[in-house]
Amino acid sequence: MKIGIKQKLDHLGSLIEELRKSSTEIGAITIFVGVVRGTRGNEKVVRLEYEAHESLASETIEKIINEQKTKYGIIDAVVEHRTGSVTVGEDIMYVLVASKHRREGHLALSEIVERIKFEVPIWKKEITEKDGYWVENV
Amino acid sequence: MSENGICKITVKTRYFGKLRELLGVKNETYVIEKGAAVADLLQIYIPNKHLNVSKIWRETLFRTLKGEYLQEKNGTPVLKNYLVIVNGKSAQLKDCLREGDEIAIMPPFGGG
Repeated sequence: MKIGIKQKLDHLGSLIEELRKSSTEIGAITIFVGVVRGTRGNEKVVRLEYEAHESLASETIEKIINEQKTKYGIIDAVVEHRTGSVTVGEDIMYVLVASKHRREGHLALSEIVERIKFEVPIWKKEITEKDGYWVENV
Repeated sequence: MSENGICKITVKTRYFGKLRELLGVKNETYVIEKGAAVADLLQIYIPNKHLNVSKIWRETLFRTLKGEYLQEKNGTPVLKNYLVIVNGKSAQLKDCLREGDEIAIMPPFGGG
């Protein structure tokens, strides 16, 4: 398991390789890449600003991954999330799930991404050309 | 610590997101009365230190009905969907604070 709440994400290719080597039982690696969208309604987004309670965020993500291991039997997972300023088109978050088969990988991946939005102490301010908005996943 | 015969304790606060922006600080230290609860910190100590934004602070954190702040039966206010974490664990407003506690006050999350 690898978890990172950081200014700069690792290279996605190296994360895939690292995960691939963690077990010979792996038959599927499913991946989610979150990207900064350039619009908010009719407004043009300039950047997103992220901040986190880093230790609690890592602890919560570890708990989420462990629960997915029990629920879907996934082999392992990697989650990295940016902090600081992220501009349009840049990657925000990587979630990678290694599993024996694709089905449990898809299910676990979807659940991990959803739970990160609602359970992990990370905050986001969307800066548009007009204004700034704190985004609340409620 | 004792001041005029009243026992005092020292606690640290951490703010995130819109609360950090509202107060203009990430961390603070408060010397408060021994026996004070989380609710006292949020309702009295923090807004009294930040008088210029105290009204917005209270309106941001606590639920109101027709302009009145809602209260539980025991008199504690009712938080909106904000979280208070003391030393890494979820806390209730009625919980008493202890010397050295670190209190993180968290708006709704917005990751991803």
